[in-house]
Parts: sequence; structure tokens; C-alpha cells
Amino acid sequence: MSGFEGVSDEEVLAAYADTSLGRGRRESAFGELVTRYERRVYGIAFRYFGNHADAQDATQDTFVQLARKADQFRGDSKLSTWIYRVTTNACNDLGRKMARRPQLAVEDVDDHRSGTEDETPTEDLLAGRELALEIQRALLQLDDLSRQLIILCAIEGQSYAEVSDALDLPVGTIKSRVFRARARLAELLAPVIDPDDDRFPVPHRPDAGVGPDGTAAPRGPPA
Amino acid sequence: METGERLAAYLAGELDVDATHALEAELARDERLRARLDAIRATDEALAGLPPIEPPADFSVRLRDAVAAELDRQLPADGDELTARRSRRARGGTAATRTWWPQVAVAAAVLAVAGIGLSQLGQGDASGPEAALDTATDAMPEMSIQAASGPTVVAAGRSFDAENLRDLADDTRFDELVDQGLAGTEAERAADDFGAAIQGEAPADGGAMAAAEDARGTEAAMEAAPAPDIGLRTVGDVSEEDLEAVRECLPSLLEAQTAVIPVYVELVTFEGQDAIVYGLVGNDPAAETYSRVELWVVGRGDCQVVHFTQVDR
Repeated sequence: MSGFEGVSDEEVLAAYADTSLGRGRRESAFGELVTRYERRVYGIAFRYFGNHADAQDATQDTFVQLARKADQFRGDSKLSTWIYRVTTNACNDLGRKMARRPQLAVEDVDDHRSGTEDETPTEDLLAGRELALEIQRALLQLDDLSRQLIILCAIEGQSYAEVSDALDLPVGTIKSRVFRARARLAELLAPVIDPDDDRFPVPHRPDAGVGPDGTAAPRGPPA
Repeated sequence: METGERLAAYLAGELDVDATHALEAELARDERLRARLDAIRATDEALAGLPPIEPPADFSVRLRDAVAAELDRQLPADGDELTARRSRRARGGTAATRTWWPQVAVAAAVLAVAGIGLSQLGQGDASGPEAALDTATDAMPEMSIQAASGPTVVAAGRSFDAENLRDLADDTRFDELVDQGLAGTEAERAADDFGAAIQGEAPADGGAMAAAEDARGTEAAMEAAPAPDIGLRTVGDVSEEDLEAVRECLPSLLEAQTAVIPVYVELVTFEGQDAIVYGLVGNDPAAETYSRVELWVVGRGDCQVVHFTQVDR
């Protein structure tokens, strides 16, 4: 038990930054933040780089930066938004440092597993993994900002306002870039995602075609 | 707004009423446009349905190890912030271990003012403070007083790119520290002191005066020790604003698992952008000596790393 059950993210960070508290308590507070965010940060970094080695480095850089800059959090946005900002900066910085390094091949999200689980993957599972790999390949073909926008908005489900805060760009710019990125990604994935093909477990809605009366409900990332 | 962007905006419910009606009219008569809309919708759904990423099994442990090391740097020991700051650098060392600058400073002071010969130094208990002076006498012939001069900041004026940046690694200022047989703790102290000089702070432990007190424990030695000479040297017209920019970006470059010594800084134009080059001397793990020159180019103002190269000398 960390002693931070039911405590908000912002309060946990405040405990870490509180110099009047003992070291043990402050370490516990930061450990709690790591527990709450490590998988989310890792997921973003993996989507950004497409390989586990860089994702681990970027995740580590992110938490090191959080530890160093905790006193810079002003509280005018959610802590999660700030963490997303630090994460995207860490990815960008690492990406720049690695710019001259040969690109690693895109790894399957399950490449590191031992294979002891799910010994006989079902056809759906295989199709899902194949689709995930194709999506990852397509993501890596987008420019850095477009990729980050897709990761944060369409995969992580952040609102445009939150992403605007995280990336320090106007909401209008975020929306416009997200729409373009989604359209571009659809072009890249067109050969593998056929809305009328049931090979992939993409829920296909019978009303996908929008009729002239416009009754089909719009669907997209959260506004 | 291009078509794809318009379709995605429509799916997100972000088009106004007129634009929505116009697009729906187009969709009603254009099968290819409907197919494109379907493709974007299917992509959105595929993205939303992606499974979470599973990190490698040892990821969490490795992350916590890295975080623990960082917290060791960031957090003071309970009740003694100053001790904690010192301990993070001295970890693994002993209280009797002195570091390179006080050794040179004290030895130089004693030689210059008190007139004590080299052979007279280093006598006594090898585990005591004099042992440090013994080391200092060994170091003296190798490390000139110039070695204690401190970091240099060069004013703007030159342009570099990825190709010619490496020439900077040949700057003779690096010779003062590269491959001088610095031990880990000495290098850490040098890193602290050179960093402090750039930041305009006093050297840790009060510099040579405190070092003299520690090492000799005599008033004579304290009087003999000169004022610390690790100062920031500037070349050309370096403004206070320039120094602020240099200071702002330095800390993140110094925060590494092993010490790096900031020897040389130059305000430059790098591939057309206002930038700052930091020349750091670091440990070459293969040679286990401080013989690696790292050149970091960061954007002036945003401190973002633009370019990095290293030369093992």
C-alpha cells in the first residue's frame, strides 16, 4: 500500500515536490506517479518509435524529467496533460538524438513475449495483431506531429483541448491537423482495412454510408 | 479545407450546419467519396480498438532503478540537504578522498607561498588528509595550473554544420582535462566546479580555502591558499543575456549517470539556427578514462538538442 489511494494525481505530485516532507514520503509519492503513468507513457512512446528499446529510453527520460521539473507544474491543467507534454518532448528529443541512427524495424507489440501465454492464438487474435502491426507501420510514415496527434487524440482519447495544452498549439490548429492526419492514415491503411472486409475485427456498422438525410451520427475522437 | 480533412471533421461532428449539408449532398451522389468516408471511419475504429501496449517483463524494474537513481540526485537525505548534495557526488568514495581542484590549488599554494618542496609533501598517515596531498604532488606535473582555469564561453560569430562541428573537439582547451588520468570522484568534482563556474556559483565546499583547511588543518595553509581560480573565461563580446542562455541549457546536459565536465561553450549559428555548442569531457567506457569529447548543439532559447557528436581522443 503506497498510502496514496484515493489521492488525486496533482496531490501526489505536490507531495513529491513538498520539501517539508521527509525523503521517504517524497519517494513514495513519486513511485505512485510512476505506477499510475508508466504504462500510458510507455504506450505513447512505443507508438511514437515503433520499437521497445527506444520506448523504454523515452519512458525513462520522461520520468527523469518529471522528477526534475515537478516544481514547474503550475496546476492550471491536469497533471495527465502535463505528463503527456513531457512525454512528447522526451520522444521528440530522443528522436532528434537518434536521427542519424539506422531505423529499427517495426516490432510487433508482442515481440518480447515468451510465448507461454496463448499458446494457440485464435484467428481473430492473429488478425488483430497483424492489423496492429500495419497500423504501427502506417503511424511511422506520418510526420512527427501528425503521429503524436493520432496517438494522443485517436488512441489515448485525449480531448482536443488537452492535446492543445500538451503540445502548446491552438485548438483550431490541433483539430485541423488531427483531421488531416486521420485522412492520411486512412489512405495509408486503405490496402489493409477494407470496411466491407470481415478479416479484421474492425466493427463495421451497417449504416456506415451516410445517407442524404444525414441521420448517421458523426463518430470520431472526443471533441 | 481539403477533402480528407473535411470528411474527418464531418465524422468528428466539427463541420457547421451549412458545410455538413453541402458535404452530405456530395456524399449522396459520389460513391468514391462515401468509400473514402468509410475508410476514415474504419481507421478511427481500428485505432480506438487497438490493444494496450505490453511493455517487456523487466521494464518496470529497470524504470524504477533509473527513477531511484534520479531521486537520489534530487532528494536530500532527511534533515541535511547540503550533505545529500555532496553525498550524491561522493557516493562510493570516502571522507578522506579529496578531489582534483583542491589538490591542485592547495599544492600550488603551498609551493608558491610557503616554499615547501614537493618531497616534503605527502608525508604521514597514508589514509589521512596528507594522502590527498600526496596524490596532488603526483598530479602536479601532469596538470598545469591552466587546467584549473575553468570553462570558456566564446561569443557568437561562427557558423557550423554537422560536418565541421567535429573540428571543435580538437580545441586545445580540452587538452587540459582529456586523458589526464582523472579518477571518477575527481572528475565528478571537476564537473561540479566547472558547472558552478558557468552558473556563476561558488565552487562546492568553498573552493581552495576549505580544501586547504581540510587537507592541512593549519592556519598557515589557509593563509597560503589562493582564492579559487576556477573562473568563467569569456572570449569576445559575451553579454549577460548570452550567459543566461548558456546557463539555462547547461543543467540538463550535465545530469547523467556519470560526470561530464563542461569545458567549452560557444554561441554559434548551427545550420542557420541560433544555437549553443557545449563541449563536455566525459568518460570513455571502453578506455575507462576521461578522454571523450562530447559536442552538444542545443537551440538557443528552447534548449532542444539539435545535434550531438562525440570524439574519443
